[in-house]
Amino acid sequence: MASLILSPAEQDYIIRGVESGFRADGRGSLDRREVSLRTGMISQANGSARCRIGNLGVGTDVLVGVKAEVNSWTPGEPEDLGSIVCNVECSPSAAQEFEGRGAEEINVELTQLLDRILNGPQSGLDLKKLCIIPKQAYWVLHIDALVLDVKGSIVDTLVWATRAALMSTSLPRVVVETIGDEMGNMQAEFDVVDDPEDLTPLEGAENLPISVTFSQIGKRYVVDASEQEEVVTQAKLTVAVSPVMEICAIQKGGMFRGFPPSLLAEILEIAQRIAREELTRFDVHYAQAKSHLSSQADEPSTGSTFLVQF
Amino acid sequence: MVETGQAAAAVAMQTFERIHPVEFQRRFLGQNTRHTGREFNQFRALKVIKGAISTAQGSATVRLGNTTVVCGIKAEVCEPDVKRPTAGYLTTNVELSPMCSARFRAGAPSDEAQVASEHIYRLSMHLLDLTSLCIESGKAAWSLSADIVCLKHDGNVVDAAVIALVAAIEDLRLPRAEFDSATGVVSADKEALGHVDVKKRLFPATFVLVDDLCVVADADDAEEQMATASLLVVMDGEGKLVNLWKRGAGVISREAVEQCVERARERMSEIAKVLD
Amino acid sequence: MSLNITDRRRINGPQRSVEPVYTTTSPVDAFAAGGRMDGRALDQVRPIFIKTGPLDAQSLSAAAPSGSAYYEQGKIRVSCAVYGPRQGRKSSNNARMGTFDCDFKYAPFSCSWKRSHVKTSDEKEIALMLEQAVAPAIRLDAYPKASVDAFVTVIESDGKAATIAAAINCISAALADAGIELYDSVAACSMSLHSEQWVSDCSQIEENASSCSLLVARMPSADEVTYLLQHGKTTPEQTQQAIQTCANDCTRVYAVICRYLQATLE
Repeated sequence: MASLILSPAEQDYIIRGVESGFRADGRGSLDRREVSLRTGMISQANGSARCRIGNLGVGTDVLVGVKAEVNSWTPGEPEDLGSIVCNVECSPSAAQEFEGRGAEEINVELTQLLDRILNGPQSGLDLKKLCIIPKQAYWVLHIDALVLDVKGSIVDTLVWATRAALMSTSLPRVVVETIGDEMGNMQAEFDVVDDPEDLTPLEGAENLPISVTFSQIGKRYVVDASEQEEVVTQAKLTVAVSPVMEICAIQKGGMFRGFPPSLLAEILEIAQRIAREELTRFDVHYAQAKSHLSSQADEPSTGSTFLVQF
Repeated sequence: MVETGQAAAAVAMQTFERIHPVEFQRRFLGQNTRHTGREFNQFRALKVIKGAISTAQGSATVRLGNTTVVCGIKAEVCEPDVKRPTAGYLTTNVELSPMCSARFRAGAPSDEAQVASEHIYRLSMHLLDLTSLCIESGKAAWSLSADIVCLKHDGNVVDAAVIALVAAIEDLRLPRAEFDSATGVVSADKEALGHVDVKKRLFPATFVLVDDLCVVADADDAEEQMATASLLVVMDGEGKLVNLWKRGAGVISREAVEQCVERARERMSEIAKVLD
Repeated sequence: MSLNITDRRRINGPQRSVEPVYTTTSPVDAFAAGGRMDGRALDQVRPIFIKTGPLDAQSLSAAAPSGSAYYEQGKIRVSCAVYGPRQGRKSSNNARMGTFDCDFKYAPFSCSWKRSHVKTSDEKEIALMLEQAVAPAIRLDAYPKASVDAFVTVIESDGKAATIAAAINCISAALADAGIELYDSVAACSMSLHSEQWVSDCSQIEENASSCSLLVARMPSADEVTYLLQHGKTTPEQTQQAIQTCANDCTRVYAVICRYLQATLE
């Protein structure tokens, strides 16, 4: 991020360190930072999660809320599919350059990236299941992400939070009835069950991909770049990998360089290995977040649970 | 030796043009000639290519000297205005992007683009009988949006834009459409395409008063920069005057206006030859 | 469908207009006949036409771009103007380097549906992609405090990935025409996956029928991939194979661009 200014000596220190396999914070080139994950903190949303990647309580922090809405079908739209609408916003409090219109470009980039990963068969979500009655009504999932703090690896944090939010999403049950009128025409009608207990979890959310972002620094690359490392990053490559090790999306970022093909092949290979490790790590954290939530439910409410959790 | 002398003179001339663009032009005009060597009442070469864009229902590319514009027409269906239940829509917009000249900024249309759009919109009313765009009275009609994108701005964009609009409308092919009153849906048959009747062809000719001194036809960018007034004469195919539009603070004498109208009448057949 | 937002700086049409429902539908399966609809081989790129300098000024007008190019690939038509190096407008943090900015716009009539006059988020994203794909080739360190700006207009599109690739190639040619110092020219190419087979340079209909598309931009002489974008699901082996094939296609496109640029010098 450009708001952090490093002296040439500091930059050189990081670059040479990465090239010899050492990082300023003591990690190896493929080591990731600690993650903290919480789910279900927004009561009005159908699903929500907050993810922070960073050591010692400081790090990139993303809050994601999923809101489901019933939309009526209009001609020109797919007949039997639901839809997903993504929106990512970087809070001006996260970094100085996000003030005013400064976040516009990064908002567009992150929104489109999230859309590329989620909207379509590659996400693992079955959009057909989000259709209520073909050519009549369907569910729209509004995924709204708010980036609260930026300390490197913004894309990976965003994907972690979104994955957790969608896994914790449950939709109200919908009853579809077919009624015949006096003319003998059959017509389908639906009713959304208005019971906060009667919910069905979103199907296929466990198939969602996880992303791994590689930052090219000097002649080598690192995973999960820190804030200082992002300053000297010449090119980035985000690879989204599904639990069955399929590649769901690839996107290059960064303005200063390209990747040599040999490095690219190496990265794609390593991406699978890291994705597998990350998915296991995600499952552990997600289970923890879930159990944390259920144990909290037994306690008497002490006002802002939001603050207590962090 | 002669060659190097000529090259040096060319460099000197370029430097003069860059440093004193106005004085540079004045030297030519004082000698009753233009910097491009054209006569005062001479237009630049006109080239029209109809129907090159397959994603548009009607299109035309027009080159007037270096000025290049593309006009594409997209046809959609809409509900007609309550006040005019049998009329469709024809909207015209001129897009002057930073691509065609550094004078324009990206984003909202510049003043020049707004003025051109507005005037061409008014002219377009002569071009089409909007009731011919009706599909079902009060229910459905065609809405044509003609967008004129300028690729290269080298003066006299309005002439090029009007010619492009006329050519694109002539190229326009609409599918046969039917309105289903039960469902309220308009269905169209892509195989059965038909032309739209052009009510009146329009033939524009723009004249510019340069430096309060002389009236020249079809000014290029450099001449337009020092123009104090401009006069747009639009003729229909029969040599009748459709529109006369004088802009700017400069004063053009009555005789000069009459000469311009006369020249526009000759210009009419020149354009018609290229359009056919 | 387009909902027309009233904009007092433009001529507005009706509040709401839709495309009619076409009764005769065009063939849905682009590969039904066993081959491609236009008879191309699976790895064949559409014919390319380049012209540099169509927008350059004849007279020495300060308003004219420093370089320009017009690029055709099959039905795709893209036009680009490059300004600069000129004084940077943004106050740059990094004054040792110049900046490269890109502006991308689809003409309202360039797609199968009517495009809005106002820039949409996908156009903004493509502009960013173009910057990321082309900037590595520019010697920005040679232009401190200056900016190089490219303005791209799509006159006609046919396949989204292929149109972005065409825009990258067009900018490369325009940058060379403007005499901007470059490490190498960037050439781009796209592919789509159709029933386990990669198909080069897909048209819109072919792209609609495919499950995954890939875009590669490359500097062949420097041997660097400057942009890589995959949209859709593949196995890692398929991706590796596609990047390789796409890189080869890029080299072929690069040869066409270079041959043209050489010819303009003679």
